[in-house]
Amino acid sequence: MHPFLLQKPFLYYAGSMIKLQLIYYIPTIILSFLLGLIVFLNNRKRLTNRTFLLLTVSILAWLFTQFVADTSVSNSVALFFIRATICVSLIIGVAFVFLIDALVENEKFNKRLWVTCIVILMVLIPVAFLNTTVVSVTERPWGAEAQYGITYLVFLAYSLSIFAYTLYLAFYKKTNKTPRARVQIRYVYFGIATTLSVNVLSNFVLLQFGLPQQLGVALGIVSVLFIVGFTGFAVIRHRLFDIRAVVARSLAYVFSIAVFASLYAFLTFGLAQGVIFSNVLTTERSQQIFNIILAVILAFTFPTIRRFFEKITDRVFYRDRYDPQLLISSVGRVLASEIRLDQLSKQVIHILEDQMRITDANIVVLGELTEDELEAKPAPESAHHHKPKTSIYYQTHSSKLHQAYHLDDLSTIRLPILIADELAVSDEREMLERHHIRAALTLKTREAFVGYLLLGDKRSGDIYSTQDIQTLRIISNELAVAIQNARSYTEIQRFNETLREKIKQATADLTHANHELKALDKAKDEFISMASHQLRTPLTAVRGYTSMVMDGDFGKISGEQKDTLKQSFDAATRMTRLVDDLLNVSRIQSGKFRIERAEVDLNKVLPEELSLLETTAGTKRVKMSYHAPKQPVPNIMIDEGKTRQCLMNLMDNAVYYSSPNPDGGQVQVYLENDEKHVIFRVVDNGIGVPRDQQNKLFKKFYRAPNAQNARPDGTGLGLFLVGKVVHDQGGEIIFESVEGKGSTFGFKLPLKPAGEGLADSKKASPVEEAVAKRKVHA
Amino acid sequence: MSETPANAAIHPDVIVVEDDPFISRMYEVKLSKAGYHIAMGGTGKDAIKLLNQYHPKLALIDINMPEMTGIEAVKELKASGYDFSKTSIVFLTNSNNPNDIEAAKALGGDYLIKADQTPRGVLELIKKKLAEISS
Repeated sequence: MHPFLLQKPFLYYAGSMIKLQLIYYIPTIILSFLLGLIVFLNNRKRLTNRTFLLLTVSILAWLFTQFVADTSVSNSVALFFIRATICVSLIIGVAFVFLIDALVENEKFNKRLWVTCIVILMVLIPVAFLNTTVVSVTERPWGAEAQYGITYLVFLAYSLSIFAYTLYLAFYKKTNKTPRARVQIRYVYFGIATTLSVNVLSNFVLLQFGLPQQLGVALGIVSVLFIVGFTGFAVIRHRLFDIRAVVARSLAYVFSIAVFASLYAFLTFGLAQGVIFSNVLTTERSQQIFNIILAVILAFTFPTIRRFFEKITDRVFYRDRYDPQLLISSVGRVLASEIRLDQLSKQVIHILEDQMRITDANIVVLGELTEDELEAKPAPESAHHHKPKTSIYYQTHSSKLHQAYHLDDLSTIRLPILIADELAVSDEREMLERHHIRAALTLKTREAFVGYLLLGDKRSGDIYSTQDIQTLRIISNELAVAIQNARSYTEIQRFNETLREKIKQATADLTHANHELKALDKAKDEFISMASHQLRTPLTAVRGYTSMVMDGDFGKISGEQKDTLKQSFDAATRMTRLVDDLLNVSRIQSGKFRIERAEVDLNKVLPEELSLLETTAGTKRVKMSYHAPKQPVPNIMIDEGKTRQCLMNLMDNAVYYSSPNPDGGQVQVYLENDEKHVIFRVVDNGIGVPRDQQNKLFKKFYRAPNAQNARPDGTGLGLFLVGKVVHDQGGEIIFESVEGKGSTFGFKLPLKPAGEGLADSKKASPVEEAVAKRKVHA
Repeated sequence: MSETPANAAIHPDVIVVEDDPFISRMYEVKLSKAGYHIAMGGTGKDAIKLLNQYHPKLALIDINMPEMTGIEAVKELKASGYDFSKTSIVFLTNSNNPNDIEAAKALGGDYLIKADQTPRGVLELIKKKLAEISS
C-alpha cells in the first residue's frame, strides 16, 4: 500500500511532511511529464497525440496547484491554489473528452464539441472562485484542508457528465474502429476514468464519511498513475502510440550511461585509492595519462555496451522485429527464381506473413479485359470507369481472410503506398477499413500498372512503422517487375494451353468427321452392293426370257424377230457387265477389293470362259481359236472369279475390236507357262491402239478414240480392272499393239505367289512396266 | 435332245429353289420344256423340305432368300445327315460375294452367277451335271 498510510502516525511535523508529499508527487509528475512528452514528440500532427498532451499538461498543472496548496504556508495562498486546482480539474475533464473523441472518431476534429466544452469551462471557472464553493482553508500538519460549500456539487455533476459522455463514446458509439483500436480506447478510458473516479470518490463521497481530506488528496494524486499505467500498457501491448522505439532506445541509452558511469566511477575510485596500478600511477602526470587512456577505452567500448542494451531492450519491446535486409533478400531470391505467377505470389505472401508477421496479405494482379468481358460490361458503367480495359487477372491471398476486391474500390488507391492509420477520414480510408487493409501498395513498373499489394494487420497489432514502409516500398518495386514477367510467361503458357485445346478440338472434329465419312462410305458401299444386286436380278430375268424367246422356247420366230431380240439381249448383257464393273470399281475405291486366293486350274477355267463368248463371236463373225498348252499348266493360287473376269474382259475386247476387220476378225487365245509364270495371251487382228494412247489405256474410264468409235457403249473400266486384278495377284500385263494391225493383250501370273509386297500399290503398275518393256524391245 | 429320259416319271429330277418369281418361273419354263420334272420352292425351308421329300439328283438353290439362306439350308441338311453323294447342289446367286463363294465350295456345291448365265446355259450345266451323276 501507499507509504503514506503506514507513516502517518509517526510523521507529524511539517518539515517531514513536505518530504513525505514529495514521495508521491515526484514520481507522478516525472512519469506523467515523460509520457505526455514522448507521445507528443512521436507524432505532433495527430489529434490524439495533441489531446493526450493537453491531458498530461493539465494533469501536471493540477499536480502543481495541488502541491502548492498542500505546502503553502499562508491560508489565502492555499485557498487560491485549491480553487485553481478545481479549475485545472475542469480542464482535465475536457481534455479527457477530447482525447476519447479523437480516438473514437479517427482523428476527426470535432469543432462543435470543442466549442461546447470551452463554453462550459468559461461558465464553470468563475463558479470555482465563488465563496460557496470553497468556503475556507484550515492548515493541518499534513497540509491544507478545505471546507467545501453548496456550489461544489456543480463540479460533482460536471464530473458525472464527463463520465457518462466518455463512457458513451468509448463503448456505445457506433464506429468502424478495428478491434485493436477499440481495445486501445478502452485502456485509455479505464486509465483516465479510474483516476477521475478515485478523485471524485475521495473529494465528494469519502470526505462525507470522515475520510481525512489529506488522504483523499493523496489518493487523487497517486491515482494519476493509473493513467500512466493503463496508457503505457496500451502503448506497449496494443501499440496505441508508436513510441516503443523511443522508449526502447531511451532505456538502452539510460542503461548504457549507467553502466558506463559506474565503470568509470569504479575505475577512477579504485585509482584514487591506489588499489589498482598503485605501483605505476604514482605521479599526477601518469594519472592524467591513465585518465586519457581510460577515456579512449571507454569511448570505444561505449557503442558495444549500447548495442548490448539495445539488444536486450529490443528483445523486450520488439519480439516481432525482423531484419529488413534478410526480408528483402529472401523476397529477392523468390522473385529471381520463380516465374510462375501463382507460386511467386504465394511465396512472397508467405515471406511477408512469416517475417513481417502480417495476418493477411493479398496480391492483386490487374489484367486486360478480354473481348468477351468488354462486351459483357454495360456501356454506361465502363464509360465513367477509370480504366475500362482492366480487370482483376489474378488474385492470391493468405488463407484467413478471403477478400473479393472490387476493381472500383481498388482504383481509389492512387498513391504508391497508403497506410490506413495515417490517413485522414476519407473514401480511401473507408475503403481500406472495409476490407481490413492496413497498408496498400500499388505495384507499378516503368511501363505498366501491374496491381496491388494489400496487407492486413500486423500480428502484434502494431501500426506499420517507417522501417516497414521502406521495406515494403523496395519489395513492391521488385514484385511489380517480377509479376509482369511472370504474367508474360503465364500468358505464353495460357496461349500454349489454348492452342493445345484448339488442336485437340480440331482433332476431335476431324476424327468425328472421319467417322462420319467412314459411315457414309460404308453406307455408299452397301448401297452400291445392294443396288448392283438388285439390278442384276431383273437383268437376269430380262436376258433370260429374251434368250428363251430366241431359243424358240415359246414357239418358232422369224430371223428378223430373232435379230431384233438379239439387240435387246446384247443390250441387257452389256448392262449386266456395266453393273459388274461398277461394283468392282466401287470396291477398289473403298479398299474392299480383295483378292481371295484359291487353287485354280486355268486349263479348265479358260475354255469355260471362252465358251461363253462363242455366241457373241459367232454373231460378230469373229473366228476364235484356242491354243491349249501342250502340257497342262500347273494349278495356281489366284482369285478365280476376278481372274475369270479378266479373261473374259480381254477376250471380249478382242472379239469386239477385231470384228470391224473387213477380212473377218481373228482371235487367237494362248495359254502356256514358263518356269515361273502362267502366261495368257489374246492376239487379235483388230483396230489396234494408237501409240500415243497406249500408256493411258489401263487408266480408269479411259477409252482410246478409235475404240470409242468401234464400241460406243464401253465403260473404260474393263482394262482398268484387269490391270488391278493382275497387279494385285503379283502378275504382269502383256500388251503390244499396232494401230490398224491388231493387239496382243494378256498377263503373266506367278506360279507361286510371292509375298504380299507384290500387291503393294506403290510399285510401278504392271501396265507401266509392260509399256516400258515394250519400248525397250522396240 | 436330252440324255435324261423324258419318262422319268412324276419323281422330280431337279429341284429349283428361288425366291424371285420372275427367275423362278423362267427356270421352271426352260427346264419343263426341256422335259425335266421339276419341283419348285421359294425359301430355304422349302429347300430342306423338297430335298428330304424327293432326294433329287440335282438341286438349284438360290443363296439370298428370306428367312433362311440357301447356304444355311444345305448346312442344316448336312447336319441332319442328308446324303449328298447322290444329290448335286448348284448354288445360284447374283451378289458375287466372296464369302458366299467360299461357303458354297466348302459345302461341296457348284456356284453359278445368274446374271452371267442365260437359261440355256443353266440347262446345259444341268445336263452336264446329270450326265456326270449318271455315269
